[in-house]
Amino acid sequence: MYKFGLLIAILFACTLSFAQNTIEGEVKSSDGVFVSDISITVHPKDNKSKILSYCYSDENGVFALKFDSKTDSVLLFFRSLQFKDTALIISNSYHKLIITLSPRINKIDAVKVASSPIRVKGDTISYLVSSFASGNDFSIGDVIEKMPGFKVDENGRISYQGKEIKKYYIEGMDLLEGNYFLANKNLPQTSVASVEVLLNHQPIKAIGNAIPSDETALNIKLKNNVALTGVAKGTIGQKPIMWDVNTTPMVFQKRQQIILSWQNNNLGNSMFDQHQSITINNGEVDGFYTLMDTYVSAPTISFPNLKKAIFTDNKTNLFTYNQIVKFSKDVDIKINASYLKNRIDENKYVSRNYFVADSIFKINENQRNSLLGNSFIGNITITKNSKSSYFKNKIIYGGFWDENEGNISKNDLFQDISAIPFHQTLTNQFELVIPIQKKLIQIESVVDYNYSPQELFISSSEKLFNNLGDSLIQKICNHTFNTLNSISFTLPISSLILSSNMSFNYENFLHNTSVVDKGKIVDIDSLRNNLDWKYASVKLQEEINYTLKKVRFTLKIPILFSKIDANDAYHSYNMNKSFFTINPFISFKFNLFSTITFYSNAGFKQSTYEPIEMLRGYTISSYRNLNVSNIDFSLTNTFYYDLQATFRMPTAGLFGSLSWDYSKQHKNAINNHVIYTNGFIINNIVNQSSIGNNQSINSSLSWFINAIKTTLKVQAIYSFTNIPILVNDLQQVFRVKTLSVTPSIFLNFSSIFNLRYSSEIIKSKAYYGNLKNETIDYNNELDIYFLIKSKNIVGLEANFYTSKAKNFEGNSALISNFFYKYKPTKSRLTFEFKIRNLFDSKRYLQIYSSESETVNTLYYLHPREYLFTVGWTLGKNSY
Amino acid sequence: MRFLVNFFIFLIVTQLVYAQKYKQIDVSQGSFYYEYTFYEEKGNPNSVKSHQMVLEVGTKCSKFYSTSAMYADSLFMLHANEPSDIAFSKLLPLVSGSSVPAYCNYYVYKNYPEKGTTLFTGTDMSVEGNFIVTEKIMFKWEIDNNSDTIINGLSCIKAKTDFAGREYVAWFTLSIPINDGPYKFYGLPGLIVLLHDSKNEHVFKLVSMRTVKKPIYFVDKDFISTDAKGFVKALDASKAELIRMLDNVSFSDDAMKYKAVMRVQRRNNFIERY
Repeated sequence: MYKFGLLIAILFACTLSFAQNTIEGEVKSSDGVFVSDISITVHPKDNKSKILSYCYSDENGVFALKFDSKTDSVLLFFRSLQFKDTALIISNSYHKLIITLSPRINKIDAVKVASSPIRVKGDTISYLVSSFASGNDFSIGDVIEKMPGFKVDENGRISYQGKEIKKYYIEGMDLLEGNYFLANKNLPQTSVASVEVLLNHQPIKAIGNAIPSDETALNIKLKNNVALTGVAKGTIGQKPIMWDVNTTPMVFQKRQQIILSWQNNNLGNSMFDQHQSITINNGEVDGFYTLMDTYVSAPTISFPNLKKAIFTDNKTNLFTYNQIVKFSKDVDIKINASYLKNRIDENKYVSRNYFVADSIFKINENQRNSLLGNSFIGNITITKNSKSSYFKNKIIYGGFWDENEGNISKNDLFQDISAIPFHQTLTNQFELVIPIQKKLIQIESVVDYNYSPQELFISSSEKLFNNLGDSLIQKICNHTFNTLNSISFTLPISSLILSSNMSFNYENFLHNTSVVDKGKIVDIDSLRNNLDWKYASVKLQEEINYTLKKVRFTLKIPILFSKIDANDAYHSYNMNKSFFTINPFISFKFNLFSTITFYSNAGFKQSTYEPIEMLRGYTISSYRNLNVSNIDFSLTNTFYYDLQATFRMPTAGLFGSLSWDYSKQHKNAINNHVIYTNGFIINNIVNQSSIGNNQSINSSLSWFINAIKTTLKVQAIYSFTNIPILVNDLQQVFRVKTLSVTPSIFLNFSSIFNLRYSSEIIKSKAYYGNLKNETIDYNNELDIYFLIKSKNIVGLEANFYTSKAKNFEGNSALISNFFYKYKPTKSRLTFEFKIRNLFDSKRYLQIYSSESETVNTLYYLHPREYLFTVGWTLGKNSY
Repeated sequence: MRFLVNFFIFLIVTQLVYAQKYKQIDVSQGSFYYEYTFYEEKGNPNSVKSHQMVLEVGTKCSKFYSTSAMYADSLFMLHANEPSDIAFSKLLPLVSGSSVPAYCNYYVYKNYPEKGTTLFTGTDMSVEGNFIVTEKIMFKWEIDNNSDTIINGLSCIKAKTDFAGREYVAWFTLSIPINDGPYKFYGLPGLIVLLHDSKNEHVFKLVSMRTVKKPIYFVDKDFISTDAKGFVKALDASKAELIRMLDNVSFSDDAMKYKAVMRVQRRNNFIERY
């Protein structure tokens, strides 16, 4: 009896504690048909995210649910794609229900699934452009800037995780080579589907995986239907008349691509970055051979940090034509031609403080500069890039006919300077790679000729030389011939790659200078040069590359035998020198997981002084500089070391990098700056030992938060430099410590509001003997855009700059632009009204420090301007 | 590597043209695209592969398979009535660049041929053996009401189950009330948005969806009937045949061949393991 009573009690207690309930019934449509596959869930009345039980209705519409709940009532949900969601609250007891569902009108369209904006496939990371673009972005460059992992600098160069990109392909074709800013700035983002980052990219198919590559390339994937795109737009403004015309059609076909551009403006856009570019990657300079050799100069135009300020008057005309034609799958011919005529007028007030011994020497002057850049750069390239062989030949011509003028006035001194640094260059670059079974043979040859007839006219109220007149002409005629030829053999053996390289380099530098006074060449040897410099070297380089799973190790040992034969009859200078140098290099790469990669490089380099630094007679290089050398031969020894770690989690939108660089340089010669009280400087290279070093820590982090379409970026750089300098025969060390922090944010979560904010804080301390100079710059940029019914965009772009320096008054400037843009629906036209310099800021002061001076430059800004623009996107897509 | 891809495409196109029949079984109401990330070798994160799969949900049944196979199938439908050699020459260039990884070369039909039945058809690594498995799978899901999150903008609830030698975590959404999910998984009150095993060696993540109505085809071949364990055994056994085939293929260098063979040799981590 006792046991039976206990059993009853336990059963009763169980019933109370579990309180299991059943709901059953049938589900039918509004027309009475029983429906299957309806998702039926039971929730607590006040918590619909908690599921007590669930089931689906069967083919007869029947369902049955059992659940445990202590609550007095429950929430019952009926969901399906075909019918509207139906919910009811019922008491927590047994029910038999017949539910009628209403049809759903907008089925699963109501549910949006966001696809991942960054996708990874092997060594390719794809960024979906539509996820990063906002209503006000025009070019693909505007969007790339917002993508995590990327950095676009002020010259348009693109870096990915701290490393400059090696190639900029459009649909796999390398039309523009290093001059990609033209496309980056003018290709409408609406024509682009995705931006692909190609990691460990080897552009030469014949090399393939035989030689591992750490290079990064970028490939622009266009939308399927895009064959013709580009932009045509015109801007006009008042006072007296301002204009900006840009016509850039682009054709992208399977067998050819063409980018043609004509741009003309007087709005302050120099467009030099779209004409000629120089990229530096792993110590190699792309575009080096078309660089202009400048031996004479007028005061150059310096560009301030204030990006949105318009402080120069310009007239700029750019015409560029680029075409690549594929003759077969592997063979293409490419033509790139660009002509730029750019006149810039600048008016500024410069206050210059020279560090002389333990005191400061000050010069204040007004400068009116007028620079005319006039240059043509063209090249023709034929490439065969197949697995069986690689062949590339590129002929480059560069012509520069610049004419620069400067007018300097200070208390009692007036100077007119005119520099004509004409320069022409012709280069042939040849490259051949032949794989023979596993082995590779690479042949490279460069032949380069430069001709530079240059002149500097100086007319001064104060004589440069006591025994000469007040108007002088410095004439310089330079010829340079340079050829570099190399052959290398590469042999992969399992995880080892052995490579031998032999190269031959010959350079002839002919430099003739003279000074003309009153129409006659001054017959003083110390003002003349006739240097004939011949340099020849043979280099043998052995390279070992070892890869073991996640680790890669590289060792290069180049040994150079060099011979210099130089003479100058004016100065009885005759040098004949043979010497060996060795430049070993070691590198290490380690992949920790798939997200973190470590790199480390170290090397030692010996180099000789350039021939231009060996001139025994004086040359006048600019309005206040005279150069001369007193050394025969000098070697510079440089030791360098760097460590880098990169981190990436593309699917989480997170990218970061941290690096440390160190270099130490030992020189046997140094430039002695002899500064005179009238501001003239004699730069005299003398034999004197000096040691300098430089180190920097660079870190960056960027994060794209997909849920709120926001990109956060921050970059911090700390650098510490010791530069030995010799001023007025006194050697001292100039020390500079600089910390810069650059956070930025791109908000893109709202369909009606976008925001871009970036800030740059640069704190710099410079020490020279007992002297100390400290500056802090804050440069803040804020762009806000409002989109109204997607047709109207109202925006404010503001740039606020403040600068504080020890011993100087604080300085600040605010530059703001306001615009209204109208984009009619289904039209490719855009109309924009813009007010530049809304608050009519007048002036802007910039402070700059170097090893021998601090320069305060006061720029005079353009007043408030009103501009009207009509833009037309070519092709099918509108922006 | 490119050569290898083309080699497999050639095999697949040959299969498409010479041995397949297409039978319409339903009309898709929605297509759900999943990014399937998986380790080919057990415990080796370096063997990770990724492939896009699609779940086509019809009014009666659903089909889950590789998007590469989806494009190839739809192309084949265009040329189905042409002589096989002409169809072959037209198809090969079109499907180039879209190969199906060995561990994704299958079709899963749920509620076909009848409600409650899961029909699996899979092809082995040599692309010579086609197998069919008919199952009635009852998943025992354990819903974790204390865990919810938002994935791709969808509010999701966590659930756990065991299947074919692995423990799985699924995140499903009530916003898409479909009794379905990637691979053979189903049985929750909403669509499975994210599914992964406890070691994260097999991960299916919903990345996009489309609502274009299109026919769902059953792809019929000369199947060998087996059970799920039998298919896994056959898949494993076919490695030897594939290696033999690779051995007969001429590679540009031996290192490439060695790598290709080793890659096949190391495959030991099919989603189902017994």
